[in-house]
Amino acid sequence: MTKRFPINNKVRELREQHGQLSQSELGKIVGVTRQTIAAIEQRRYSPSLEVSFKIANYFNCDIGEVFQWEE
Amino acid sequence: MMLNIINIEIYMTFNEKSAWVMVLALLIGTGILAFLINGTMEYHSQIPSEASRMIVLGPFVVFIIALIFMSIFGHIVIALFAPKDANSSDDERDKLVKLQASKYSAIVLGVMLNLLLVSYFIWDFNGLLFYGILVSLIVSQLTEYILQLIFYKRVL
Repeated sequence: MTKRFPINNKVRELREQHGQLSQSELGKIVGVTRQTIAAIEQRRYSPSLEVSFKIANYFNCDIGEVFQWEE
Repeated sequence: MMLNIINIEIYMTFNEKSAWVMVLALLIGTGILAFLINGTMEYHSQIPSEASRMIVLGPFVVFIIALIFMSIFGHIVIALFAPKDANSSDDERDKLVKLQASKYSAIVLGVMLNLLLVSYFIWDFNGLLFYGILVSLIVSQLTEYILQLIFYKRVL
């Protein structure tokens, strides 16, 4: 089984809800690469608080709505 | 082949491609170095120490020039495929990957140099001590780039 971070997220769903925003576009907005957004969505990378807040702010969500702790 | 190039373009960051370039450059450079050292080993044991030092230096100079040339050429090629990526600075994940990889490569370098220092008192290395240190540096750098490639693909 592939190892994943215990923090689940809804970044992919939120991107799709916001007019099919691409990973590259979101990456540019929050200041990371497209590959980092892909790694966050696949739970291979846990972003810093700064990037997490930037993502949540962009989607007008609370940070807890975007990222959830999942054992 | 074309599809592979496109996949690399899509899925790899510039840093990953750069690490691949450096791994290949180091492996080819080390191959050239090993070939040249092997060629000079016969003469090495038959000549005075001053001339021997110059023969030790020769393959090293060729290795450095080949490494610089291959890394510059390789980076020009990958930058041509993705000029925007080449100009962008490292994001937080890139920095973390590099930090973790350099931490382990520093351990490898430290262990190898310590083993080399201990070995120096046991065996008479002559000019080969120079190459022992050089090999330690090469292995350490290879470890760093290979670990970067691994860390980019797994949970970090």
